[in-house]
Parts: sequence; structure tokens; C-alpha cells
Amino acid sequence: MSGPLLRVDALDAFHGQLQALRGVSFELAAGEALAVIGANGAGKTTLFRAIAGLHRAAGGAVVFDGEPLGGLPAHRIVRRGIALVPEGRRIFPSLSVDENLRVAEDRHRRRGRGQSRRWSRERVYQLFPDLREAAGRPGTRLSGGQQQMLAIGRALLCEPRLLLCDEVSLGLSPVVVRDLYRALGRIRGEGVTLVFVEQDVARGLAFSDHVVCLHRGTVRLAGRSPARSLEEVRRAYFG
Amino acid sequence: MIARIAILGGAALALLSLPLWADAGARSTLIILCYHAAIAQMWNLLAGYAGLVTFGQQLYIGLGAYTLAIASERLGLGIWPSFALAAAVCGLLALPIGALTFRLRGGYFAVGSWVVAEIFRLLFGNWAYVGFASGMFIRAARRVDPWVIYYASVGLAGGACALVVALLRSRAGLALMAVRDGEEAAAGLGVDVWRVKLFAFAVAAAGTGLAAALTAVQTPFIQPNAAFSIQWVAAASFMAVVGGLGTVEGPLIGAAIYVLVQQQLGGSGAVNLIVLGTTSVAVMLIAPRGIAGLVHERLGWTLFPVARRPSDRAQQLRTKSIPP
Amino acid sequence: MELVQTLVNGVLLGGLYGLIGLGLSINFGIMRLVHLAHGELVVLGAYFLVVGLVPLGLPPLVAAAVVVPAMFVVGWALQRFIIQRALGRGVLPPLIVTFGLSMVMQNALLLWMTADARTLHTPLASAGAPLGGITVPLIRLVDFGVGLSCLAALLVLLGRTALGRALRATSDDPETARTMGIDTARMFAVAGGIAAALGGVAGMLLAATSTFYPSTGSEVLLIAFEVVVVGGLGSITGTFVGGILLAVAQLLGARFLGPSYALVAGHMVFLLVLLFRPQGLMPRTAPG
Repeated sequence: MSGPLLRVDALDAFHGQLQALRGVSFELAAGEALAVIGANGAGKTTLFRAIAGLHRAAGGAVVFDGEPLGGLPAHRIVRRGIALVPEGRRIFPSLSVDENLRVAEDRHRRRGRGQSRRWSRERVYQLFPDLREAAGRPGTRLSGGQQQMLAIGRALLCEPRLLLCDEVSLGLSPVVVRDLYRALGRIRGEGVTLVFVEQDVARGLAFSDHVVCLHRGTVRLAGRSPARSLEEVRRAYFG
Repeated sequence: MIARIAILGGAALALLSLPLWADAGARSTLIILCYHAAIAQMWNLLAGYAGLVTFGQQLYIGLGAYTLAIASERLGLGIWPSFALAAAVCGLLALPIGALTFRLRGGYFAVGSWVVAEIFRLLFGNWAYVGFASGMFIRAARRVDPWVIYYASVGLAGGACALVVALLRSRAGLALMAVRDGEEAAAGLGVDVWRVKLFAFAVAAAGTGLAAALTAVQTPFIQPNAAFSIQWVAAASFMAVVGGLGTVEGPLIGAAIYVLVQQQLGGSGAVNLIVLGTTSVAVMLIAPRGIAGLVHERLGWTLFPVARRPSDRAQQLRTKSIPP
Repeated sequence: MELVQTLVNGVLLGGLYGLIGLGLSINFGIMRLVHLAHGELVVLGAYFLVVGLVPLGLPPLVAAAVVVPAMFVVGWALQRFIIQRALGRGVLPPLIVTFGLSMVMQNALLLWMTADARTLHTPLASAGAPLGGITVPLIRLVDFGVGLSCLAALLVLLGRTALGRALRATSDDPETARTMGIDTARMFAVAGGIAAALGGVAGMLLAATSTFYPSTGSEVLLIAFEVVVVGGLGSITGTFVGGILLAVAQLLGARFLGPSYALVAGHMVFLLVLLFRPQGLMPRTAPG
């Protein structure tokens, strides 16, 4: 396959008068994983929302599999193959765990061009057995880790080629985080390209092929992960 | 600055010298214009500055009008005490009513206010003292010299504008606009949101009551269905929105348009209301800041500078999250 | 016995009131929209039946089968082309727009249909079934039955279908729903259509139960509003129960205070709920 799966090109974005992203650029090939690192307020969530179509960019472009996404509404971007696991998980409170999954599954029953579904609720339950047990419960009556699993499972049922994971481990215990990364590893094994935010720099470097470090909306550091030392990343993180 | 003084000064001169150059017809039209402007200004005070959209303003129209009728007809009070009483009754009653309806938010507050107005309409319709639903005549108040009424109307309209300007330039006004722009943020800054809203609510009620008393003097007869009719607030919202919500000159512009259109269309009330409704919808969707807002946007000019909004041009360049 | 009769009449009429409130509840539940033209949509359904279809000689069920989809289209179109543009910009635009629409609709009906009283002439209106000392008015029984059926159908739609799940997700969190591939604007249009269709059914029952005029829309709106608030914002079942409570209050008021106090009694119950239990009887905790 030629060309990167995702290319972000000089992306600008504002929150009212405040510039949240300034000339952000990076590339990612299919099957790889990119860690986005940065302190709170660095622009990580804005970046994800801009790629997912929830936040209109003021300048620059996002190109997915060779096609620019410019201005497409969020629900169409999903169909192109980008799914978002949002910051705060944002589980639907009026729906049960199973229904949260079904909502995504319902929308992606038909895969164009004769492709069969890669993900099903059954596969998600196999990936996250905790969810099977809680299937009938209201979606928000889960622990933080389980909600994260549900959010990931929900995104998987959108049949993504690219999965955007905002804040994988925030507020979760090390055991749960380890399980989540194991699951993410299996998801990557299925060929899903991954962009994720990770506050734990070491883990972020260990799990990714590339890293992008954001500080006040600009890219301070970017490159292949093992090549960058922990110290360099720490310096870029804190500015 | 010069332009403002010229416009305001010229208008004041023209209005005050009316007996010298205009006839009874013009006077009558201007009286109608003035009390409509006052009513619109009060609705705008709530919706445009306090963030309180209400479809219950007709309650104070009815109360103000009936207070005037009762005071002048049944209690034998003079015209000025009757006016004062109308304002006082409305302002005082607004306190418990506001306290109760503030439990509702947004659109529910708007309709809840309408329900309260309905209750009063029904109660007045069942009250023997005011002639039930058939209503009562207004005779004593109408014996006042029409020129006195004219100057009272001009004073009312001018006073309403001055009141809004003074209020907004005061600390209370700052608090009010903070509340409009974001209640939680305002509360976080130490603004007593509830009291500020209630204060604005009572002031608007009193102003509306006073304007209503003036409308009552213009009619020979008062009836609950007309006095408490939803059409008052339909007109008020039209005037404020089309003229320009959140500006002081907006209601004036809106009132002028409204009165003009009413006079042109004359005849069928139904056609009038269809035009009103269609225009309100169109303006709200296409030019939500109304006429005064458009002038402010294009020319950067306002007649009464009280708006404390960030520059609109700057806003156009920035982007926000996409609404659903 | 008189009291029991009044209570029975009230509960049955409550089915109609609850139905009237269901449409408004859908609009608010899914879109956070206080739809001020809902009353006019109900009355439109009534006029459509009485002036449009009955003169053609259609039997009532066939007429219903025409009115419901027609009203769905009206509600869908209003939402899709007009109201949608007013959403997401704060409290004022949707209120002004729906209020403007209600004015236009009410007065257009006035011009077109005149202010004459209308009603659906049906043998049901005066028939009653005796039941242990009281008479159960048949039309009220139909009101209740239809109202309850609509509630049940709505609960099934929302609770067990893909569309229902999508609507609930949209109601919970429109942004996240969009990232799941849901076209929220389309969901809103569908919700508007459903609400109007429910309004149409309510309108047909209204036509059979009492007389109506173009101005009835305002009364209907206030009933719908009070029913939703009393029942608890966000709960559809609560709305239906609120309808029963309001109707009972009105009829009791008429019985004990006099016929001209029926509406006031209803409004008083609304005020009392606002005063002592502002969240309503069954505030939203669970789906539906």
C-alpha cells in the first residue's frame, strides 16, 4: 500500500479566541501505532475531535487513505473508517452495556464493497469478558476500567481502520491498564491502526511505533518511538 | 458621538414639540408607538439581557390595565396615582411569581409563565367586581387631556430606554449580563444569580404594568381575554427580535415596524399575526441579531452603547465545536 | 358515587391528556426542544380528520391510517427544514421559531377554516356503558385505550428497536452518537415526525371527545406542557400518568367548584407540583 493511512497537515484549530492547535503535522502508516503525549491543555483532545469531525478546523487538512476529510460531518467520517474512543468514555447512560454496543453495531451492518464484518458483539465480549457479565446493566453502572472497555468495544463495532483512543489509562489501576493494553495489542493484531493518548510516557513509548509530543498546540517532538529517549520526551512534554 | 447626540436630540425635540405641528391622528399613533416600545423594551430587558425568555408578560399587561381600571373606576383615584399603583402592583406581584417560576428553566420557564398568566385570565373572568368575562368600562381615566397622555407616553418610552441604559451601566447590569452569558460561571464569580434575575424580573414587570395602564386609558373597555391575551407577548417578542435583541434601540425599531405594519394591514387580525409569525421565524433563522444587530455588525455602530460583546468580526474567524 | 363517576371520567380522559403530552415529551426528551407549535399540530390532526377525510365518507380506522402518516410528514418536514436550524444556538431561537410557527398555523387555520366550532360526530360521543352504578362514557374509554396503546407502542419502539436505541443515544449525547455513525439531524427529524404523528392521533380523539376551534391549539399546548412537567421531564410513562392526574384534577375542580373552574383547578395542580415537587412525579432515571 502506498502512502500513509493518516496524514495531518498543518492543522489549526481554535476554541473561541484561543488557538488550541497550531500547524500540527504528522503521518501514520497502516497497521502502526502512534502515541500522542502532552500535558493537560496541550491540545490532544482537540486534535482527536478535529480528526473525528467534531471540531471544525480553521486551517490545514486531515487526509485519510489519500482522501481529504475536510468538513465532513462526524457521522460520515466514521463510515470512512475512523472511530473515536472519547475522553471521559461517554457511555450512553440510558442504554445498557449491550445496547451501547448494539447502537454502534446497528449503524454498521452493511459494509460496502462486499467486505464482511470483522467485529461483532460476541467478539467484543470475548475480548472483554467483564462486559459479558454486565451486559444487562445500565452502561454507566460500571467501573472506570469496564467503561473504558465498553467505549473501546463500541468503537470497534464501527469497523474502524483507524482507532482514536483519547486517554487510555486515565484514573485506572495498573492491573486494569495492563489488561487494556493487552486488548489493544490484540486489536492491533487485527490490523487496526491506532492513535492513542497516554499520560504515562514510558508506556506510551513502549507500545507505539511513533510518538508525537504536543505542547500548547504545537508539535514539539515527533519520530519513531524507540529512538527517542525518555529524557527527550520529558523535556518536550513540559516545554 | 456627534451623530448620537444629533439623532437623540432631534428625536426628543420633535416628540416634545408635537402639539405645534401634528394632529390628533399623529398623536394617537405616537402614543401607541410609545407604549409598544416600552413593552418591547421590558421584554428585551429580560430576554436580551437577563437570559429570561418569557411568554407570560401578558400577565403584567392584564394586571396593570386592570389596576388602572379598578383604581380609577372603583376606587376613584386620579390618573397619576393609578399609574403608580399599576406599576407597584405588578412589581410586587412579580416577586413571588418569579420565585415560583424560576424553578423552571429555559423553555419551561417561558411556558410556565404563560400558565400563570392563564390562571389570572381565568380568575379575573370569574370575578364579579370587574364584571366577569364581559369586563368593565373605563370612563374616569379617559377624561384626562389627551396631550397629557401623550407626554406621559413619551416619558414612559424614554424612561424605559433610560432605565435599561442606567441599569446596564450599573453593577447590577454587569451581574445581569454575566448571568445571561453563563449562569454557572456567574455564580462561580460570586454573583447572586437568583436575586439578580428576580430584580430584573420585577423591574420589567413594573415597567410593563405602567405601559399597560397607558394602554388601558386608550380603550373604553377592558376584558380579561383581551387584557391577558398571548398576542401581547407575540407582539413584544416580534418587536424585540426583529428590532434587535440585546440592544436598546432594537425594541424602538421593532415597535416602529410593528405599528407601521399594523396600520398598513389594518383589517384582519389573522393576516397580521401570520405576517408577524413568519417574519419572526425568518429573522430568527437568518439574521438573529435583528436590525440593530445588523447595523452594529456591518457599521460597528450603536445608538446606545451598552453592549459588552466581543467583536463579532473576531468571532467569525474563530471556530467552535459543531452543534448537533 | 358521584365522586367515583368523576374519578373514572377523569382517569379515562387522562388517557387523552397523556397522549397529548407524549408528543411534547418526545420533542423534549430527544431534542431538548419545547415545541410551542405542538398544540397546533394536534388541532391540525383534528381538522384534517373532520374537514378533510370525514366528508369523503371514510370509516374512522381508514381515516386514522391516513392522518397518522400525513402528520408524521408534516412534523418531519417542520423539523428538518425549519426547526433544525434553530437548534444548538441557545434557548431563544427554538422558542421564537416554534412560537412563530404556532401563530402562523393557528391563524392560517382561522382564515381557512373560520372560527366555527367543529367536532367529529360519532355515536360513541354520547354512548355509555353501565358498570356497577356508574356509566362509563364510551368515547372516554376509547381515549384511554388509544392513549395507553400509543404509550405501549412508544415504549416498545424506544426500548426494543434499533431506531429506538439510536434515538435514546442521540438524546443522551448527540456528539458521541455522531461518532457512532448516527446522523443526529436525521434522528431529530424522525423524532419530530413521531411527535407530530402522536399529536395527530391525539387530535383525532380530541375531535371525537369535544368541540374544537383554531384557538384550541393554545389550550392544548398548555395541557401538554403541564402534563409533561407534572409527570416528570424525560419520562414518557410519567407523562402519561401526569395526564391522568391533570384530567382528574380538572374534573374534580369542575365538580366541586363549578364548570368555569375546571381549567383553573388543573393549573393549580401544576403550580402545586412546581412548588412541592418540581422534578415531577417520575423524573428520568431509567430509559423511557
